[in-house]
Amino acid sequence: MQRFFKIKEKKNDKNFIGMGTFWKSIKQDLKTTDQKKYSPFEDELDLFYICSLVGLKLKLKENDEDYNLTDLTDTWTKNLSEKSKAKQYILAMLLNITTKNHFNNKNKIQEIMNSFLDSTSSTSLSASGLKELHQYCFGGYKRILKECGNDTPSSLVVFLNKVKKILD
Amino acid sequence: MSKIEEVKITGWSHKGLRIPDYEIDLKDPNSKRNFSLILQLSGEGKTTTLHLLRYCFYNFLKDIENKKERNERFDSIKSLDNTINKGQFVLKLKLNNEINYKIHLEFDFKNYELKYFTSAGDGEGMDAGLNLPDSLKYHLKPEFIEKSFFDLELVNELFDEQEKETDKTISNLCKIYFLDTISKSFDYYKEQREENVEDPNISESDVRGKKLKREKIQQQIKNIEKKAAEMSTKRKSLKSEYNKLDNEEKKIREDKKEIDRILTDAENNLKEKEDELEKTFSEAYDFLKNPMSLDQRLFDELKVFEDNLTKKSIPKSVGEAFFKDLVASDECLCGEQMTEARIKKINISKTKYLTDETYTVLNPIKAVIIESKKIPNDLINKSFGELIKKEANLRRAKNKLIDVRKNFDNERLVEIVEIKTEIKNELKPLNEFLEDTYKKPYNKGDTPDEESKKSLEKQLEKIEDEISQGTNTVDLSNKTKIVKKWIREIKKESLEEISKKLVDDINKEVPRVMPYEPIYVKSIKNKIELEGRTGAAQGQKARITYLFLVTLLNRPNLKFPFIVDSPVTAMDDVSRVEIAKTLSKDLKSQYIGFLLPPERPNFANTLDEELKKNINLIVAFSKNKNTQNLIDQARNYDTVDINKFENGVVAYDRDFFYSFSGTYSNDEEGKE
Repeated sequence: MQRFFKIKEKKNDKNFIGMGTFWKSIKQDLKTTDQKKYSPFEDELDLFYICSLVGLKLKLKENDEDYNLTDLTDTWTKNLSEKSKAKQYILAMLLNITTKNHFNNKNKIQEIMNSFLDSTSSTSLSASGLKELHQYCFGGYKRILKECGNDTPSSLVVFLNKVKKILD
Repeated sequence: MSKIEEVKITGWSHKGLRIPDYEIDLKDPNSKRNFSLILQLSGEGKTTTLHLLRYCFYNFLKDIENKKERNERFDSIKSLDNTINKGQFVLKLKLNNEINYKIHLEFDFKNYELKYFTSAGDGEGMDAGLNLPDSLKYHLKPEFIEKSFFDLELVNELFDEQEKETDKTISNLCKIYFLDTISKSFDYYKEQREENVEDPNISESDVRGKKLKREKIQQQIKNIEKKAAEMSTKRKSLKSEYNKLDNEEKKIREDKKEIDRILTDAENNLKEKEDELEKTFSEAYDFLKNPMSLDQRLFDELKVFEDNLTKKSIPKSVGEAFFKDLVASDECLCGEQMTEARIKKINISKTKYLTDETYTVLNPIKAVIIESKKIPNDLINKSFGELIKKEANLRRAKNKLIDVRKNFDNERLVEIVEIKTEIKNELKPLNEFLEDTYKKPYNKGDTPDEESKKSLEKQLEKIEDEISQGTNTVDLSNKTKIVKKWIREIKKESLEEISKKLVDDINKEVPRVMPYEPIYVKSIKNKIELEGRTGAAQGQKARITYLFLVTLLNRPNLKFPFIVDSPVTAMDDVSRVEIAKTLSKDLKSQYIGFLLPPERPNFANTLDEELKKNINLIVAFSKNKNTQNLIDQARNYDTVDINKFENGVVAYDRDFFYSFSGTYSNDEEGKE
């Protein structure tokens, strides 16, 4: 089964903040009294989405072999796939980037799409499509981390404004 | 065996379980005694006994697939003595007032196993399994049992529109749900016929694919129904807890009205600021979830991407089945004979054509790009800019509330507010699923992974149509649809007719049950709605609930025990008296009430009086150092044998029932 993964740690870099730790600093926590109580981020895939967005927008790729990964989930969340069109946008951006160099070659475009998409998978992506997306996601994560001074953000307001700044 | 018209419980015994090892005997002289009250202290295993009684009528483990949940259920019944690994519960029944039945539940707590044994008649022989007569099995579905074993939480649920508990209760007690079983049997018949079709219109692999999709949708419907049922149970329990806390809070605040006003203002202000910040966070994330709206360059890029695909007629698919059928045929499209080399070439070239799988994913992506519109930058910038402002507003509102609370020193109130907030937070995802996700309408691009029942049912209908067209069973499918439509209509009309009759019957009794302030029922569609008023006191609601249930229970052909846990808890004197009168006058089936000592006044004596003492008044408690004073009380009654059971006492003495003081030896305040 195709799954989403997150970065647990970077190989040979003990100081690298994993996505799990980063997630804890922005995820919704109804029991706390700080800003996280009102966080719009309910599922860990939300962070994966934002990182993918940044990676795809800025065309930043990271080699997933450089990281130790850990399991996230095997499907898009309702928030990203039903209550919004976020999933479709990410897939559109991924296909746009990967087919861009074959703009006039219909067969090649179709070949790439066949190799990247898979309606029978709950992620809608094949193994190779998913691998490609992860590389952009990790590229985006690295960029966000850099913007946060290689640390977790001090608050949710800070995090959202930093992401906005990167995307502007 | 002739038709079973009446089931009576004549007693039960237990050993090696969380409750003491004793036996309860419900005496039934001349087969004319229907009422029994069992007086127990709080924490003495009433709820465990009720669960065990339920489990005697259906194997509860069948519905529990989750191992952890299954083990938890076992552990809640298991004796606290860790050396005991086996337990037994035996229920004695009398059917039609003549045939004795025994149901044995043998628990193996070490291996988490449960075995059922049944014995019919008075002999010693037992058969493995839960073997009740067929005509009885037909009635005793879990839905029916759940409603016959009633607790007062149902009162609030019956008045809550969100739960739609009136319809569910009527459907379960009048067994309207059997119509669904009939409806499903038509589907089963149709599926069997599809299997035997010899000349389908589409390839076998296509038929197989569509059937697999149907199975997936059917399974998903089962999964989400189970999930919704679990969430609904959790929601009911949370709401009940919330209501109790809310009432307690109201009482505390009523005593200090001025402070309450200031506190309410500060709380409302905080709530407003919280909502504003939450909304702004949500808006900001919504922008991020719509990246084309954020950035003109990305917007243009994706529009060009979509435009290019459209110009190249992408997507337009050639199904995998086409290539499969092609390589399996003797001839190639060009008319030449199919060879290994040609098959290889086709398998390589087919990747250049869009597959069905790609087509299915690509279409919605294109649609999203086409529909996307750019949002003005200043609007987006303003939304992100607002985050800092709203966060500061919230901080100020919080400080203000802290100041007010400092002047209002009531620990319990603070605790109640905190717990209520926690409950509200827990309710949020439950409500989202039950009211939003589960009821979401069907959308064209929906997949079998959806969690919306409406969407899945629509998808099922569509795939059923495709299968019947592919398998030449359209005629049968149409007939099935008509029959199922009739069944739905019958179900709807039955519910309406029963509801109307119930309202009439309840209202006839209102002047007697509520003599001082009669409250009439206007409707019981989805919830109990009162005539000319929006609410009623808890005691009044409870009286109407009893009327509702007693009237319902008297409807079916089968008289089945009505078992109630804490039947009149937190109820005023008048309500207790009137409920006792309603039960004694109107209930035709057996009644077993598990009573706490504070519930005894006005209820037990009224029942006793109305029934002219034709009632079992039983006291049961465990034997341990904490209950020494209860044992000492029992010693004063000659008819009470305190040595009959090793770790429990069961007394059938009327005087002892009324004098039983009901406190533990080392508990000054009592645990009632």
